[in-house]
Amino acid sequence: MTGAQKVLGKAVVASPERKEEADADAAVVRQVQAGDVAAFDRLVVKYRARVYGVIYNLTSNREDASDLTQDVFIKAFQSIRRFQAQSSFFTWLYRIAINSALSHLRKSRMRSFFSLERIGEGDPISSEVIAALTDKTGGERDAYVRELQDKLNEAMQKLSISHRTVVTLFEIDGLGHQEIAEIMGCSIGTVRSRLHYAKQLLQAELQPYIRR
Amino acid sequence: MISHRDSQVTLEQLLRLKRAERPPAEFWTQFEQELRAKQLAAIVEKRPWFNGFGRLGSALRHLGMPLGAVAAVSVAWLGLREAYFSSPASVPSMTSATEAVRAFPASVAAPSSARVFATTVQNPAASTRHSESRPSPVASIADAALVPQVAFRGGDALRVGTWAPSMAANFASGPAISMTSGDRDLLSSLPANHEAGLSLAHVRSTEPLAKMISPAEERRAWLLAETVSPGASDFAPRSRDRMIDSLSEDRLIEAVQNYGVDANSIRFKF
Repeated sequence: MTGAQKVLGKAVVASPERKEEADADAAVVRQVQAGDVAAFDRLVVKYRARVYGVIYNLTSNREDASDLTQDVFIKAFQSIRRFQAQSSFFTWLYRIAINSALSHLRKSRMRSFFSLERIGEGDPISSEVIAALTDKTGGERDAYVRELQDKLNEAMQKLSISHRTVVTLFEIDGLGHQEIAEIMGCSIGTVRSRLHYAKQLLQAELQPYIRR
Repeated sequence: MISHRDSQVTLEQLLRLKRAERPPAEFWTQFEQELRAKQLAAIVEKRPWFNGFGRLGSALRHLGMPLGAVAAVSVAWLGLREAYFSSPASVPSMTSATEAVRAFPASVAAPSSARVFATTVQNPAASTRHSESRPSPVASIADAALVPQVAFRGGDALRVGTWAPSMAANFASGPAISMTSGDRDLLSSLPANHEAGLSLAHVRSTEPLAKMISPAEERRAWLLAETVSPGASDFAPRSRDRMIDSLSEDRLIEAVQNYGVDANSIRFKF
């Protein structure tokens, strides 16, 4: 996780770390393009969790997310020879992931159901948030967290696909407006307006849990 | 309904909870195995042939060609491919229409109209007999469509193409369609000039409007035919006599002598 992503709820501008990361990726991509297929595994290991996270947060279904993540890497592997390095590999890979997820969501709009991962207890931010919401412990706390997770995912799924994508990339994955605009192929203004509108909807849905 | 404290978190912090929704470590082992299997399958699997269009399109997009230009180039390429590679390799190449006509072997099961046209070129008088015996001139077009592809080059500056059969059909059906009775008589009265007959047929066959005969031309042909052929009708001798009368030498000299021209004056005799 980059340093820029540690800033809670702030817009992330392309940092020097992100630049170094892009350069390192470009070197690996060149190796793969030169015929070193094994080098692609490094890219898979590096980005699989993030790609999976984005797709999972868009679909709220871990089985679909797993299959789609594999498909994304297969597509990337098949097309990496045509990758022209006009954008970073990360942006290119995210674009494939978002397009795959959107395509899947459009196809299976009527038969979507939740299949959620457990919220990791070791994450300090989530522990802090849960502690702020409830003083229960043990089994009651777990039930509370489950219910809260359901409400969160329901609220997310009530958003349109494009609004959900913007919220996922900005609030959960920590990307900047510029990067989201590049990935989604729209203007920064569109990203901002979608984000604003999506937050309004989420606030209305999650009103009992948030500070007014 | 869940019970909770008075909320002290923001929407952004609440959404960060979703970041903690992660799969366990063992999930990635299985993920890697499945990905490896899919990767191998993707390498082995043959891609469909139409994937090439996508690659071609993306390559042209990198070159900055607009979609319309790409479409135009594709259509042109397909057209050229159709024209050059689908025609038989043994297509003969001839320098004139006469050679093309001569090239139709009589022994080949050639359409009747092609044979008729070849005969017309060699002996225009024969065309009358053929055209009279032909039941319907339109039927010759269908026959002529069976004519093998022929290349016309040289003076006509035409090239081989899929339109060659239709050109041959034009050549073959030209006289059959355009010739009226006046034309047939006119042709029969003319000397056996192959080239003249051919050029007339060629012009009429290549230019559809030329196939239409003006009333004046038809009338002229009819009059001329009636004048030249003896004993056609009662009207013919009288008109011929009148014409011969008007063109007689004595009357011409007399008419000239009635007029006198000096340096400064003109004289008329009555």
